[in-house]
Amino acid sequence: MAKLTWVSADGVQTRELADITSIGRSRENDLLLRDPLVSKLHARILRDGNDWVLEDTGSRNGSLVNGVRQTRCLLRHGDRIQIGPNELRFECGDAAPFAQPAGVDQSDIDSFLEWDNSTVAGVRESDNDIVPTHTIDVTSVAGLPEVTSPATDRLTLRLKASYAISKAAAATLNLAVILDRVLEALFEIFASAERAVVMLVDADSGKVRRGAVKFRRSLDDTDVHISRTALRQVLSRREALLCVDTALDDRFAAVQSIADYGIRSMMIAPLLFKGQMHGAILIDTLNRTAPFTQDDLELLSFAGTEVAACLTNADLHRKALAAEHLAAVGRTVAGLSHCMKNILQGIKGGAYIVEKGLADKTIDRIRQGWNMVKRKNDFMEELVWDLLNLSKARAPDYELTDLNALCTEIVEIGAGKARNSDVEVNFVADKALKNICVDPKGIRRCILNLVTNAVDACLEGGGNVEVRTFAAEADGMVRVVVRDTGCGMSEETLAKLFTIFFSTKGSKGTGLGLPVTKKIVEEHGGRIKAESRQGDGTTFTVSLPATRLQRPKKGASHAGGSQEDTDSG
Amino acid sequence: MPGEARKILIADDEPDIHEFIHVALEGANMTFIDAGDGEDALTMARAETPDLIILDVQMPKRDGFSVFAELQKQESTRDIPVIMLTGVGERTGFKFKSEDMGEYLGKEPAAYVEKPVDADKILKIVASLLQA
Repeated sequence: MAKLTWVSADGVQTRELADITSIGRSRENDLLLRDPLVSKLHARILRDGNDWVLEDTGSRNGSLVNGVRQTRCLLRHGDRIQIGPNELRFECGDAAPFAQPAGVDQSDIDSFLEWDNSTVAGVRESDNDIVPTHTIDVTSVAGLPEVTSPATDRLTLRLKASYAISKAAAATLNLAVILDRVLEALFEIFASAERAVVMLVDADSGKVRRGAVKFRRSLDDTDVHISRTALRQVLSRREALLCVDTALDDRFAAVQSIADYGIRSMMIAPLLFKGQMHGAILIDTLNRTAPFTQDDLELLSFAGTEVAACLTNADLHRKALAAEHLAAVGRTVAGLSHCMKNILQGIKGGAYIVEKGLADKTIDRIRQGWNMVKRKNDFMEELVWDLLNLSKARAPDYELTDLNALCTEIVEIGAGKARNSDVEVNFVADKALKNICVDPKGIRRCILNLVTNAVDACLEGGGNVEVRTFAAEADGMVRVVVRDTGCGMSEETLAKLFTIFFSTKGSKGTGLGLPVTKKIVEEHGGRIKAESRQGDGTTFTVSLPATRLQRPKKGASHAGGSQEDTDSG
Repeated sequence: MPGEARKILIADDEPDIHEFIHVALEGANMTFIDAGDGEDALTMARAETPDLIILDVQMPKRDGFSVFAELQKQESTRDIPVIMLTGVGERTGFKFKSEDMGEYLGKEPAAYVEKPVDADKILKIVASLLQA
């Protein structure tokens, strides 16, 4: 009889081997190992008389027996088979179970369960296209069956630490929170730990600062003193450090801080990931009866690598955000500067013409220059209004509004703009449209923007602009549609329509009109839709909620101040 | 100024610029052709072969750099001096990448004038280019 034993997220697993046992990631295997590093059909174990043979079935990452990659190999009792991240122990005959192995010395078992950092990191780095997934459930980790082997305990603890760190990192990008949770997890793992400190190295200045501190008990003196000598050693040598008993350790004989605080045992591990040093993690205890061991140090080093990986990710995220922010500022400044230059040009040009008129005493010239200055003043006002509007979220100032009346007025303005051209502007009102609650100033701005754009689109080749209102439909939305038969837009333009400072009107537009329109409509809980084809006109549809809980006006009592506003108009 | 009036093509999508340049250059024995976008500018340059072209960079339909590059492709328009009106950072690669500029960099416009344009400055540059 032969069997395989391994540790999974669900605890220690054993499987008796049949004449043929297939191992792999896909369902049809006898032994299913769900991990991206395991191939679908990874390997199989065959019975050959009294012997057992492992065959790799063309796996991507290979099958290792006692650390050596094999395609076909005879198995012996106690062999360690590595398939992806899993280590399976092969046992056969009447040999004792691995907790008390006969004929196998303790160090052998230690190395069997040695899931060391380099192996894990190596596997991950060489398979960049495969992201290891952490699907371990905390309850199942905590619920691991009690096992007597200290080595298995350590493996369990590693899983636990790894899980706690991954979970902390996945939950938030807040560094302080991540570190706090990590330290909490380490307290659970190292029962004798009394203090845990994370020291961080600033990537730019190289300065070391405190990242997080945790005490098991609240102490009278919560000042954090840690040995600079020890910390410096870890940071410079990039190695973990263990001090079983500081009183007996020559390395710290001269370090007063350790003696002063009665620290008996401590360990420090570097936060090192892909060559990047983020700092160190320190755990110490005053407890002389339970000093830290080499195993503890390995576990802490493992945790250090995991934390460092989180810090690297957080760094990358922060850098990406900063770059994006800078790019956005750049775009805004470029767009604004263009508008400003245009305004300055008009004021400068206008002033020049006025001066020339004054010199020549020609009133027409003065008027010409003065009108130019006034136009730029209006443009500037519009720009400032749009910028302020875009720069912050504001709640609309709701009033019961007759949209038909509002549209009639806007259409008149549009018709005035189109007076000396081949453009016709019409309005078709839906008489069934009831008054709705909107910010009249904001919505006027939106519809005026759309009508102005529509007239502009038709100015060159002539055309029609039609504004239509529609009473609330089944979805509870009132609609205003602005349709023109003008030049239309390319798909590219359509895609950039609501991007700030994007304008096809050159100097005539601020490039803020449609972004502002969209923002106002959305602040009303509405939607705006644009449909267009090059050369084929454009249709904008604004949908606004027909009913709204009216906000209490200033001075109105809070109780009963809000009411559903529906057909009251 | 003696002789025939010189023909100046002004291409800018901002009508105020046309008005301003007309006034700034008036009395210098010049006639003006106005184009409101890059396509118009190119058509008019080919049809009218002006003595000088003032080109805005940022225009609808075709930008000033592209108009300049097209002008270099034809014998009749190749030698017309061009004054390029530039906005913010348009020459420093802020808005236009240097590789976009490669096509016309073979030959630079005769002059660059940064907006906002100064009346005396543009008059001086126009006069010197027409004399050359």
